[in-house]
Amino acid sequence: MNIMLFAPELFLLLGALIVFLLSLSDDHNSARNVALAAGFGALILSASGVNLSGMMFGGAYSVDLFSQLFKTMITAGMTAVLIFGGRHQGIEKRVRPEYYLCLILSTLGLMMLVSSVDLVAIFVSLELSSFSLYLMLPMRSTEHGLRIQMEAGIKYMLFGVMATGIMLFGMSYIFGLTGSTSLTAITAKLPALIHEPAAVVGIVMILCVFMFKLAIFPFHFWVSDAYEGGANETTAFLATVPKLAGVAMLIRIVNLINPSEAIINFMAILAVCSMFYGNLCALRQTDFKRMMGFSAVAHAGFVLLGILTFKEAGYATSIYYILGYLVMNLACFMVICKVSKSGENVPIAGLAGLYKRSPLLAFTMGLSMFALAGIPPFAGFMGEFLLLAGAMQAGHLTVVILGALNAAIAIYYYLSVVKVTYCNEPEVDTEPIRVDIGTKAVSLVLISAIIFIGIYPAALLDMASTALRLAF
Amino acid sequence: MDSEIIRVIAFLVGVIAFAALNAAYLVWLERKEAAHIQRRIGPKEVGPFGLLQPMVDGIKLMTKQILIPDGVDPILFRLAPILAMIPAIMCFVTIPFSQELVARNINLGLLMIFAFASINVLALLLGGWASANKYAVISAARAVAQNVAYEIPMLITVITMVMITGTLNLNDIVAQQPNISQWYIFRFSASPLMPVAFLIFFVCSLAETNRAPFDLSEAESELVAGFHTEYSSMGFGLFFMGEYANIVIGSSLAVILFLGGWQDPFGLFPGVWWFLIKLYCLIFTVIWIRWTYPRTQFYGLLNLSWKILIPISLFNLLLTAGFLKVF
Amino acid sequence: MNQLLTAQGLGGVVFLAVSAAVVIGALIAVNSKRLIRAVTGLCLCLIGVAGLYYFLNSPFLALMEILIYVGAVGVSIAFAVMLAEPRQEEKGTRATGLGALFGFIGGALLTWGLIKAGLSTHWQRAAEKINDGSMLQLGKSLLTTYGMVFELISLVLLIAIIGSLALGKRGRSNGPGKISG
Repeated sequence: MNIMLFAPELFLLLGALIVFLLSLSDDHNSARNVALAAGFGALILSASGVNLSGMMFGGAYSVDLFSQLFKTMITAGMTAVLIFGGRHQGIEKRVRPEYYLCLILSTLGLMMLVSSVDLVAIFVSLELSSFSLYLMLPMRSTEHGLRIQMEAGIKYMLFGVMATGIMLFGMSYIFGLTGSTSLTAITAKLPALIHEPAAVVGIVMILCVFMFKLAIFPFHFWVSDAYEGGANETTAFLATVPKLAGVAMLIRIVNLINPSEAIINFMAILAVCSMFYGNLCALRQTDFKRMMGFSAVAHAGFVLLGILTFKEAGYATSIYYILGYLVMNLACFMVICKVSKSGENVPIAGLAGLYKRSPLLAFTMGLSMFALAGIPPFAGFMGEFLLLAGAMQAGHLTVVILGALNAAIAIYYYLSVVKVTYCNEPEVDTEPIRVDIGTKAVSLVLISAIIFIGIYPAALLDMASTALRLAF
Repeated sequence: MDSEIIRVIAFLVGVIAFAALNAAYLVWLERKEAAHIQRRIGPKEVGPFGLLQPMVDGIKLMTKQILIPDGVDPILFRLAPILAMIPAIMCFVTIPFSQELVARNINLGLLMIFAFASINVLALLLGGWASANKYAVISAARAVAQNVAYEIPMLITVITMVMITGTLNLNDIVAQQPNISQWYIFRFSASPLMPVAFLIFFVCSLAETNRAPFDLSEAESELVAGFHTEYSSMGFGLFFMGEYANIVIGSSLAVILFLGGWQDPFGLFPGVWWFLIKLYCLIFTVIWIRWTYPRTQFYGLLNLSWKILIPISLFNLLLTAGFLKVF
Repeated sequence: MNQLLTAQGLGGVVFLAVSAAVVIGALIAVNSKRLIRAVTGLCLCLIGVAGLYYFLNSPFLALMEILIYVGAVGVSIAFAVMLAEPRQEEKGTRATGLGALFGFIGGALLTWGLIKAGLSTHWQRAAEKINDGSMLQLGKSLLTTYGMVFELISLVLLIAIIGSLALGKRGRSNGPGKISG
């Protein structure tokens, strides 16, 4: 067993152990530094080990380009959140070390999730990441009230547990049919069984929990409240990193079965519903994070467009799209974390005059909004275009038309944020915002990533295709 | 009818009769012993040495009216005493009184006893809650905190024992200790801390059965009678029987795990008598302790478990694992 | 009648009783207005599930189910209910009107769909027995095939304990009796 295969996870685990010891004292600054170092180390280790491949732990854990790509993205997301979170003003001071512990373990769970090729391993790593997330939401500082984060935490937990329960139910069907928990064995047996109703029901039920992570239409109930109720730093994490693992697992599970008309139609309906629901609800939000919550629902619908083609090209586009989504969302949540002075929520109107208070933040926000709205040449445009083109090729004309319509609706609310940022005069706060050097660096990286991803999709798509070919 | 079914029914009847009679006569023993420790005589009027006293008491209990006070949860109030008794009877099923005298020799016997014993807490909790009486609720809360705290060192000790014996079958465990030097309490080759393990197990079983000096959930001076304050007649009787049955189960386990079970050290009587002798010696000690030591404080009780018993039993677990690996 | 008194016949009766316990327990858990009764229903249901495991030839799993779910989880829930809630009056809200109608239709459809899916599937018996379900086999697979999961669970438990302690401690320090230092 090659230890390097497991090195990023081990490094994070080591970081978690140190933070755990530090949490016995109230030293939250060094806890944050350790968490940051663990994130950085894991990022470097997974990026440098991107070409490794092998099976571990009796065939329950597969390391390949596919999983390593996702691990790199996940650790990068976590590191970015830790850097621009700064001193994590929004988190109750006394539980900050525990908060970092949750953050690390949640990331670890997600990393192990994308590598898991065993139903039991999938379940347990998913639980590790979810438990930590459930706990991170209510750890928000009580300075601005207690109710909102508790509501968010409870809602997220209840819906999450429900989704996990559905997944387990589905897994029991699949286990009953194939007699194995290993995805490799299931892949071998399932195609012959796909006409059994229980197999279809089982797979759809397993998909549910990952749709819940992505907030696709009937599983979106938690999203707006959790986004609004979590501290800005928590929401920044919640809105980005778990989605990566969600997409990875959707691809992994969908790949188990051959496409059948019923499943494709089912997913198409969910995709269209998510887009309409997300975009229409986002139109009338005043709180920025809430708006981003509904926008997440809409974007999840787009991601599903790539998966429902059941083709490698479609999956690759989905991976490409979610990478762009990660970068865009990190950028705008970074701005929110910085604009919010003591961890309070930022209404859209609160962004007024940002270009005077901090040109860099205003530019980042503007750029990410343009990108999310799907305006060329940024990441969002290319992603949406490729997804729609792929769905078109697969012959889902109606879905494509409705998707394009949604892209148009979305422009309105994204651009109105840009308008507020650049054209309105500041109302209350006028003093400039201090941006620390780490955040500046992150912001530059994110800006260049948004542009780069939009301009050079070919390289990334190639990489994703290779990864998929190697993995499946 | 299969002979197997007849056997099962016969043992079921036997086990229930044993549990009931045992409870009755343990009360007699408790009263007598207490009296002699306090230089009194104890029950002496009904029958020789008061031996018929428990029968009379039992008849009295059974003929009394069951009072259901206002404001209780009527279903749970009736359910709780039954729930206290059934798991205790289930546990008796797998206890080997001798090599042959065992209702069902299950391979997972030890696990089964702990599984069903864990339901007992639920009965106390439901009984206390359903009574709608603040003393009962406080008592139930104490009982749960205490049971949870002492279940951990107890299970760790049992895991240590299972590591040594390599089986969960109680009869097999007894078969492994044919004479005194091979009793697990003296098996120093497995771990030098064996007597300590026995002590931990014994203390924990005292606490699990809410016996003095750990009887905080039934502290008469503060809580009237604890969780069964509102119970009368056989409702009370079942709780009482369940409690004594649990004492017997705890002591039998100690005998089986550490003191050689039905193995006879001298060969005077058949095994079942030796089992009963060892069992009642332990029970005598349990009662003796009750009339000797004062009740502990609640913090002392929890500290004893979390700060002393759990670390020692964990250490013993590691030590035993090391010994098993090395030798 | 004679058939009923054979070991197999009695086994069938016990099986029916166990299944009934699962269904009835689940119904009580869902429908009861009093939280504590719902917990009792849940425990009944779990004991029933343990019985089903026993019928599936996994006595170890059955006993663990009782030890963990009834003895630990059930007791913890009941304890939490008891500490957190004053004796509640029966004030449970029930869905009425349209909500109840849609809920009923949705639930009925779901039940029908699951039953249909279960019945119309050609379940196959496993070709080979994976292992004999003994403790030895169980221990081996826990430390080999499922070794990673086994270790991962300890992390899940760790974070659950730490998290609930952190949150619980915070709630306490907000009270009037705050002790500093």
